[in-house]
Amino acid sequence: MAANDVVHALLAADEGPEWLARARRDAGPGPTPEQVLARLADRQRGRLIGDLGARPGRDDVLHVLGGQPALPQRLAETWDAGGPLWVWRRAATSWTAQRLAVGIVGTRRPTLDGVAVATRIAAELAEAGVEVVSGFAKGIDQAAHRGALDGGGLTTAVLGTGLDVDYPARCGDLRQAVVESGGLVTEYPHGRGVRLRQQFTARNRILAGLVDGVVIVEAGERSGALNTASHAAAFGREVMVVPTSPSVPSGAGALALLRDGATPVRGAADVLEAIGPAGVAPSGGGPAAGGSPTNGGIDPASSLGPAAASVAPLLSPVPSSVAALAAATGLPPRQVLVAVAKLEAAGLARRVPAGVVAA
Amino acid sequence: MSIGVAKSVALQGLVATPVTVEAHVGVGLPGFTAIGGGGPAFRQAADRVRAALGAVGQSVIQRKVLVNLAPADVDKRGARFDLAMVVAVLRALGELPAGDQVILGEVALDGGIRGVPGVLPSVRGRGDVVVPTANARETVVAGVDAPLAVESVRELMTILKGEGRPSPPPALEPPPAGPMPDMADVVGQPEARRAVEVAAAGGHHLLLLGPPGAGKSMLARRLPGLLPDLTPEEALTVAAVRSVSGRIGAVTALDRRPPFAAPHHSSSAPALLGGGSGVARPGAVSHASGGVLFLDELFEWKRHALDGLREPLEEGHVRIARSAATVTYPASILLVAAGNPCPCGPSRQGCRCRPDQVERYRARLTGPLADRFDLAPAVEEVPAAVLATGERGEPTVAVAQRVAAARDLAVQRFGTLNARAPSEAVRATVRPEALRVLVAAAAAGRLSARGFDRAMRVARTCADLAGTAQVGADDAHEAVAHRGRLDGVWRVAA
Repeated sequence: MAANDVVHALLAADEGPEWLARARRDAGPGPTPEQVLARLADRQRGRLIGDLGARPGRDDVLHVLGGQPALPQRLAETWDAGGPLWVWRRAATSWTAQRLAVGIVGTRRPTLDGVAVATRIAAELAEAGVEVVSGFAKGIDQAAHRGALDGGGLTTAVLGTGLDVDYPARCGDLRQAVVESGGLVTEYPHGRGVRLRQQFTARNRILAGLVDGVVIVEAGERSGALNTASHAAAFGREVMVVPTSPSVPSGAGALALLRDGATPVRGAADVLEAIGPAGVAPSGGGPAAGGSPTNGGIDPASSLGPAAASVAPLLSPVPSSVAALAAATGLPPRQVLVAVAKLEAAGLARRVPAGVVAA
Repeated sequence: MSIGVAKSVALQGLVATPVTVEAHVGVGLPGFTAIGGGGPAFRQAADRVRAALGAVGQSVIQRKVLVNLAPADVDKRGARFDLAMVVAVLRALGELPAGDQVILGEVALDGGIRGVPGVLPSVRGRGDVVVPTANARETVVAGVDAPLAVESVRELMTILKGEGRPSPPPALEPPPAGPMPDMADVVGQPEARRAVEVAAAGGHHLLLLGPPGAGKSMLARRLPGLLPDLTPEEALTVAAVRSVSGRIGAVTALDRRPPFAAPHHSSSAPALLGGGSGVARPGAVSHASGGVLFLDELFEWKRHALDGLREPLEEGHVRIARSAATVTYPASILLVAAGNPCPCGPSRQGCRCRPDQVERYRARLTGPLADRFDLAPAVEEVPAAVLATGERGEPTVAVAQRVAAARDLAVQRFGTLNARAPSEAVRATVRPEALRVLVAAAAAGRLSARGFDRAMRVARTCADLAGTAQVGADDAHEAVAHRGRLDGVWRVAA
């Protein structure tokens, strides 16, 4: 039986990647894909093929290490370090071009600033012809996918569920856009919903395997993005971090990575410099212009009156409360509220549940 | 064959209807029948009345007695007609002279007289009334100067026969004037304090958002102190609601302080809005009429109960239909609600909720519910270090003065508070640049369509607090800032 057919049969019986880890262990030290596959096939022989009620779609392709179609080169290289034996892929295009790819991952609960940064870096990378890979989770991941699509580039999503499972829910438009771009990739059989937490950490190793480097934009102390980073390090991929203030709780894990030696990056140029061949980097380093409102010479906040002018410089990506702003400026609360509303109307501030942030 | 007549009053909600009690004492098979009323307490009235008549030496056990309450199509329930029945029978027996007094009271088997609920709205505007001693103070509160308050049937008989003198009307207790909680206790919280002031000045509904223990209830409880005293008419309505539903004898003085009701979030819709079998009793929303209704843990309330608030909030009263009658209770409230920003609180270590949990939780605030509020300030935990300084906030007296001045301006202009004034009238006092600020906020998605009108009214109140005749751009900006959390912020977080 050809490798792909064996895996097909395994997956049809909902024998997920959980069995892969066991088969690897049983096959002894340093197993080859063929040995592991043989053990899995032994297990599978004589078992009824279950009917999950979910069948692969017409465009869904199973890629198997050493089989036909095969895993892409970059992912195949990760086998010895614990990489996958197969993946499902749903995409409008075939999986051939070996181009530069960068993973952008982070917390599901980012600050507005984190979302903006992830979107911007993804868009810039897409414009530079780099594929953006992420995990399709809410927050930073989806911001990265959106940014790449805005930048007119390819973006691929690595899922922790079956290709046909609508998770996270209510993201149908983005899901469709990704299918038409770089496609959806998963190790899990069709119909597999959210069953185990480990599904998502196992997904992270595929994500890390598909890229030349990962950028972490805001990851809390126990964020799954840190797991992606450790897989990336194990596979010898570049680990990059967008630094945040230590007061941003959703950035604590990312800062810890920096301390452990990850590369700090400000924008796409820094990312390309870290991973790319020389000369790929677009002109001008650092973050793109237009990020900070104070860049333009005249301070736009000063035209909104003295109260707005004194409130504006106090705002940051970390939410400040109206009480804190009133205390810092010595203005009466009405003045602070008016200033915040003016700054918001001018696009210089935003209100979030925890307070006011710079926009 | 002889007939005796006595007058009484039936009550539907707060509406009193005169009732005539007729007693016919004749010959025939001995028996005592009461007709024309309904409900368990009324059905058992015949037995109580017969026993009480026996206790005063007027046994009718050997007679055929028929008691009828007219008009027949008015719902008459409860034990309030007992005493009138006794008097009617005694008049039929020729033991008492005829009379026009309105008689209310439940009789005990030994001829004693017990208090009944709802005396205040029943005797309002009537002159000559006989009430149980337990209801005497309430009767005086209702404006009856010299009610005949009696403790027993025997006492009533001696007075009506002219053989005894009625006891003097009871002295009213001094109006309750216990110290209301003071705004000086609120330390910090500049945004929430400002919002509370605006809410009190314009009659705008308020949603306080903040972690547990930040002082949301504390702020809410201080809001009635910022409102002006009720007019005597309003105070009487509040007292009438208490009389109908409260403990007997609970109304002992005219309380002109704005009421405060804080029903628990597990309350049913009838407990919140009014209800019960037969004739609906008033709910928390009517108890708070003219004052503040405080709904703590807004997101834990049943959707059903909150949806029922729509009518009272729009119309200032609540109509409830039950099998026996449709009644209308007052429900002119200032709604104050409090909620946590996310299901976990958030806890001190920061929010631990999953994003989808937060999304679901906040989804409850969308649409119709958010549209009912005008201001949504953040209430933040005040650091212990600040509390330890012993610093005090601005006292209620000072804030209430500004509130009263702003309310006067609104009433002079519109004849009512800004929250209830006609939309066109409010718009006519808004400068074009202020309207432009609101339009821009709506275009940017920071105000919903419904929120636009409400923000305009809040801006009107901000201008009133500043003492300016026209609503300026700054007032509009402030109104948008107050409302921001309701229309914009929660979407961003998803």
